[in-house]
Amino acid sequence: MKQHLVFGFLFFQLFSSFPIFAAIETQPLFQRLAGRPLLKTDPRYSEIDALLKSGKALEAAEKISNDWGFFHITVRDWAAVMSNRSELPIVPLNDFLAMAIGVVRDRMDARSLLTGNFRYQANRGLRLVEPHFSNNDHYLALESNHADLQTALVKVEPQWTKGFKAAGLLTTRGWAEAHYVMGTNRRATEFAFREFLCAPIDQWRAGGLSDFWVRRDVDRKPGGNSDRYKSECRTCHAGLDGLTAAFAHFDFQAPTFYFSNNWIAPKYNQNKNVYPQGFATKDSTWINLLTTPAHQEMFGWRSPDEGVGINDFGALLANSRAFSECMVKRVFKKVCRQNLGPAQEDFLKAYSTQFEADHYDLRKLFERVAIAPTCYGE
Amino acid sequence: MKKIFLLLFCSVLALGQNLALKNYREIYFNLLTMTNIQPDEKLEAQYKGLREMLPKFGNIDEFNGAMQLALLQITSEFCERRVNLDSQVEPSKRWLHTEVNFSKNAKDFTEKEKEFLVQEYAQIFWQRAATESEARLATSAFDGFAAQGFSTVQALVFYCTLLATSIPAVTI
Repeated sequence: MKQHLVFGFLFFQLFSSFPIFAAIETQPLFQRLAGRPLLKTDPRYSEIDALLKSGKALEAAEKISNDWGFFHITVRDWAAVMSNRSELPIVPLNDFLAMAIGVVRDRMDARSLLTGNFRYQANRGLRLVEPHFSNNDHYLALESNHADLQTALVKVEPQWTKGFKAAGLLTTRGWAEAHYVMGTNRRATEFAFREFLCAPIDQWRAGGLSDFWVRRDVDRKPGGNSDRYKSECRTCHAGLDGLTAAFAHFDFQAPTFYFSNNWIAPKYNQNKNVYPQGFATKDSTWINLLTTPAHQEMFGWRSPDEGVGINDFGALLANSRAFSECMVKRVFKKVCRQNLGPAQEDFLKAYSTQFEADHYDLRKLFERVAIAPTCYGE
Repeated sequence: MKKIFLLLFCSVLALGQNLALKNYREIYFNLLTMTNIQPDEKLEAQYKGLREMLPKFGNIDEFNGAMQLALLQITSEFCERRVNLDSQVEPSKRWLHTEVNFSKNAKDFTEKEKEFLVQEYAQIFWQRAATESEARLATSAFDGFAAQGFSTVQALVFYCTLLATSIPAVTI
């Protein structure tokens, strides 16, 4: 009897203070969405508190997403990890981050992050140097000016020059610096899948795909062993090389982002003597070979399997089911500080569907996730 | 020793309860909001020099010695500025320390004054009231600073830093 009492007491002590069994409270909700506290002396505190107490949690979250911290702290960090090769949040402001913040702020269709022909920059009233493909000075100046990104950023079209086929984040200087520098541009494909479909290459590499599009710089007999090519190299290169032609018009040689619709980056046809019979890139026509039933299950493609250029490639990714699910996973990770696990599969499916029904409004997704009981461990 | 054990116990419970740490950016902007200090070049430079050691993602496994040192360093800067500013103005114009008599030795603070102080700090840094046991532990820490012969301002800087770097203050 005494043991039961002690156990009961301990159980009560441990769990009575856990927020997971309580209704959403103002402070945790504000902290999670805005990344900073809301002091009780702030007039918004009582407004948000009243909304929560009257069951209007989404309205409360909408009010919080107007806070400066939501853009400067939460969305900025959320976007930053997708912007660089190391996936670190500590990076200077650049066109990639500005575009992500702007699209969230303006409740734009998130698919425009991979297809849009626009950029976000400081309004000209701030008299900053213009954005340029050879430097990041504009955004560094914006940051060092302590400008309020919520009000200072304006949408400008086109992203670069007239006639340029843009693809949102994929044609920002920030992305170019991270993924078009050196190498073969295959990294751009690999990281586009990794960042926007939450699909690292180990999850989607596959045997049995045609290697017709594998380029000339890939040795078909590494170490004199063609089996190794078939069992290892080809499993990545078949899918990767079929798609990487999408980036054929791009290169980055510090500090300049090079692009032209009438030019193939020399890196595409370098080391052509390694296997001269391999695929020679002549234009930006790409093919998606990742269409096996297993791949279809993983990505949920809804676009043609072939396309020309980076904009079609961006649309392939953005229209897939995996893109919606990836955005839900990333927002959940940022706001709720945990990864969605297999046990939360229903949550993932429901929120991805809702995200699409909300016209891919990322800001709404942040708001919905922040008030979800799952976010608080229920 | 007993107090340290209790503090650790509370910390472990808190870690279980809160799933994550505030990350580097959240720590900085939380301190700005909580202490109402206007950033200047020196503060920003200090933050930029320390942020690589603060949690990048807010994962619990980023809680380590280097992170704690960096946290103490940046927090003490904010606390020092806040205490000094408040010590120079009349109580009604202070952001914090509204009941503190800065001309009084920290050793001579009454229990009521200490209780008010711990609750004032808790409301700012923890966004909630301190429980009875938390208040008791915190007050005994303040008594420890006071007994060391530190000035009232110094004792308050240490005390502010202690509470602002405690587990409830740095977790979400």
